[in-house]
Amino acid sequence: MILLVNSEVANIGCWENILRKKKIKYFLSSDYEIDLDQVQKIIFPGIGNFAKVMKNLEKYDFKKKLTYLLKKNTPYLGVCVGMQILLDESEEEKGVKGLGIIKGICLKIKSNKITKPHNGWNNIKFTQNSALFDKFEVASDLYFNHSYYCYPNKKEIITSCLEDDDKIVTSIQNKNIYGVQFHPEKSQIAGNIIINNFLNL
Amino acid sequence: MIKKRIIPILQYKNNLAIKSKQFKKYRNLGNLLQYVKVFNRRQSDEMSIINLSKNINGNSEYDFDFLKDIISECNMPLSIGGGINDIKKIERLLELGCDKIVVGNSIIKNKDFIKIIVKNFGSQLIIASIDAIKKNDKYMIFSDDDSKLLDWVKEVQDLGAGEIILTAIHKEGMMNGYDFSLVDFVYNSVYVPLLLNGGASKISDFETALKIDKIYGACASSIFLFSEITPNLIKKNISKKIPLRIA
Repeated sequence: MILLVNSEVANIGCWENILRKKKIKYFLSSDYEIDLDQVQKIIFPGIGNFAKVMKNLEKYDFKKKLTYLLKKNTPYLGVCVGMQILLDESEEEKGVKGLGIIKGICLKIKSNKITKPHNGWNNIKFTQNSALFDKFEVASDLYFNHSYYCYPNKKEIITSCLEDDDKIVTSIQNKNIYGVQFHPEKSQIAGNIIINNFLNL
Repeated sequence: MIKKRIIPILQYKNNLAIKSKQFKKYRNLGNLLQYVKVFNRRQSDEMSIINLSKNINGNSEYDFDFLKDIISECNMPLSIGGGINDIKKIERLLELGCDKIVVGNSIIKNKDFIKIIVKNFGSQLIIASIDAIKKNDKYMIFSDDDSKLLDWVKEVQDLGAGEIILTAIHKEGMMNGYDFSLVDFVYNSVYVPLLLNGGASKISDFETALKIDKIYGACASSIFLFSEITPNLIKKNISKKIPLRIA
């Protein structure tokens, strides 16, 4: 079973549609009874303000559950803010703590090489191999929509960055934890390759 | 490289697709879902759906069960707008799978509403819809409000809008070209990505619009509903000159 994290501010319906069409069973973190031992993978959909998402996670006592699952090496895919909340904090809302599972902070985009917010279809370049990008054509366009980006302390966990500006981290991988800044659920064929790669891990 | 976007806009009322001319004279087009499916197949980069349904009190009305089927068919970035004035509606739309929200009159009436959206969802969720009209050779906002167009363009960005969709009402549904003088008029005041709407009628209109550095999306409706021209065909013709997404 997939655990789909419901932050109440993400486009969770998109993920439900995708999983339903693939005939993959899932439950939502907001469901009353979750048997954590049935969780094989976690998807944390994006969209949302960093502080608001962290606040909504408290409702479900999710931090504790997530720590438990990640310790068991459950594969995790965080999308956009679902990746950003793994870090210690964000410039989006100073003073609000992230999960701190990955050391680092989220910075506001100041680059003059891209639009602010960075919204639309764009390309990435790989900095190292990741199972997430198996069979993915690097020239494929991916859909982005964000004002902040991850700045992890350990640069070796960065797996790709924006083609236009290599300061903008577009994906990370730390063992079982995967994070992407773009929206695979909205990136059509190219996005589907990435989703399938995660589901097949 | 960031790609410029071709964005079909669909309007609907009481669960039927419609098309307006200059925001009046509505024409009924039938099943909305059929149009969404067609635009899905034709290389659109994003879609915008505007709900014009009203309840008996004249307030905007959302049938979320109806939208659920529409949104689940839409496998591209989708924005929804039309009378959105509370956070609950936005949460519900996102829950169904919508990606961005278009707000216009509700933010003119209540400027704090943009700030509330930013606090909950972030700037990138908001497309501020600015409807401009040309009267006696002057551009102004199409609204009861007396604020000046340029002031409003600046203010929505300062308040936190992530993008602006600028519609020339006098061009809307007329199929006689975008209003590029309007773009010139607002150009220096714009610092977020600009989406242009109103009047697109031929392939070169998209080319001219998307060549302008600040314009990231060329929106259109009638041309895709009433002519043979598709987003796909436009891309084939102008992709050598403009960075576009070719799937």
